[in-house]
Amino acid sequence: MEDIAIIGIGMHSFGRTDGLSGQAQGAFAVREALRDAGVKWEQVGVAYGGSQDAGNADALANHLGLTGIPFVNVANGCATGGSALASVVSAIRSGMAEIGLAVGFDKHPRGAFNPQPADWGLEDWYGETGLMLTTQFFALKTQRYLHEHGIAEESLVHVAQRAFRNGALTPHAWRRRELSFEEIAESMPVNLPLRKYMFCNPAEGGAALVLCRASQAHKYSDTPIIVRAAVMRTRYHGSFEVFSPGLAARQAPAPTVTASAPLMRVLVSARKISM
Amino acid sequence: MNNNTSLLPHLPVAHLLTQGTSGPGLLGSKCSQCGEMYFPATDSCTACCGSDLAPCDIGNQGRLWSWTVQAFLPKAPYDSGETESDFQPYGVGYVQMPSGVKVESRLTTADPAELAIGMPMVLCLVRYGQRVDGQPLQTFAFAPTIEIEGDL
Repeated sequence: MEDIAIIGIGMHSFGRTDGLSGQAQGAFAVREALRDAGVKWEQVGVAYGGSQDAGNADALANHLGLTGIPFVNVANGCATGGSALASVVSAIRSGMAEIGLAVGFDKHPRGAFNPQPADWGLEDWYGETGLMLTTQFFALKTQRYLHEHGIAEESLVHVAQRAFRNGALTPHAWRRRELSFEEIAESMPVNLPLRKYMFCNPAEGGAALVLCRASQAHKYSDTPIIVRAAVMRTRYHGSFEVFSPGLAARQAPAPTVTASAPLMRVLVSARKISM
Repeated sequence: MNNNTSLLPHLPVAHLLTQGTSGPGLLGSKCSQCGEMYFPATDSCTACCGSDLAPCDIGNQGRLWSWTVQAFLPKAPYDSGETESDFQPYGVGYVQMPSGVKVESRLTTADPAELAIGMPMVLCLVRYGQRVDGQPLQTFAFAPTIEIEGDL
């Protein structure tokens, strides 16, 4: 299979940007990515993108130009960005277009999500009785993971500390102040063992990638990034995933694990790592 | 606690429960093709694509498989009628039943010191709020218990 390369990257800062719509933040990210690649919007032959709370991604064409581009709206929850990227890679590889765009943007309301049971094929009681919260799922999964692998709870604090440290180094990050161990460990419990500073808050921002065949990448970029794998998977019977009133007796790996498996095979076959 | 479901008209989970001599139990499904068991009851088997499932008893005792504490008032569709000022944190967990099926449930305690993975749990009913007209809302929950029947 021919390699596909990222030749342009653009982002709109994450956080709260009052007065700027989610779509405007997405369009900003696309323009930054086009500028990075030295490509005009008219040259982009295919686009995939999505947003949870800020409307249709194909409406970005209203900002960028009505060029007739096949622009597919992706609605895949947390996997929307990854699904858009995998779709663009496939489209370029198929010969559908020379240059493609993957974009995600959002403008979430404050606070946790409030999903509707029917959208998930669940009955109303599951939401009404207080079981349908993403934060609960992350806590229950983390609690079980700590137990099965003998990991101390303070490891969670170290993970959060590292995330804030990276945020402090990153110009487009929302949280740019390093936090001490104590600040995180003593922050408000949300769903134990997870506390306030262990969650990423629903926020606003945008990110866009411009891609083409790796063999053509030198025309646009001195530093193209080769996409070795871009994979999306759904759950298997026995996966422990969000919004599950019951779990199967048998346990199966999470989609994150099964989606990573092809990448691991690529890396192993390329002898980049040994297993 | 009142285990007589006929006196509890506002039990949105009534269809998930069986009423035994020793209190409520959980109602599930078993695939007639591959034998896989489910809670809550379903008409689709995600193990073998089967669609012929029969009701089965999931039981009323198990062991705590994971737990957390809901520390903030959930947004809608939570309908307890509580407000920020009178919200009471509640425990949530998965309880592994004798078949191995894990059931997500409220827990009767929200005190981390009273919860440990592997501890025996027994099913009960709890009041989780009240409707606008003042009538109580109940649901199923698991409570820590000392002994359980058999070796789960």
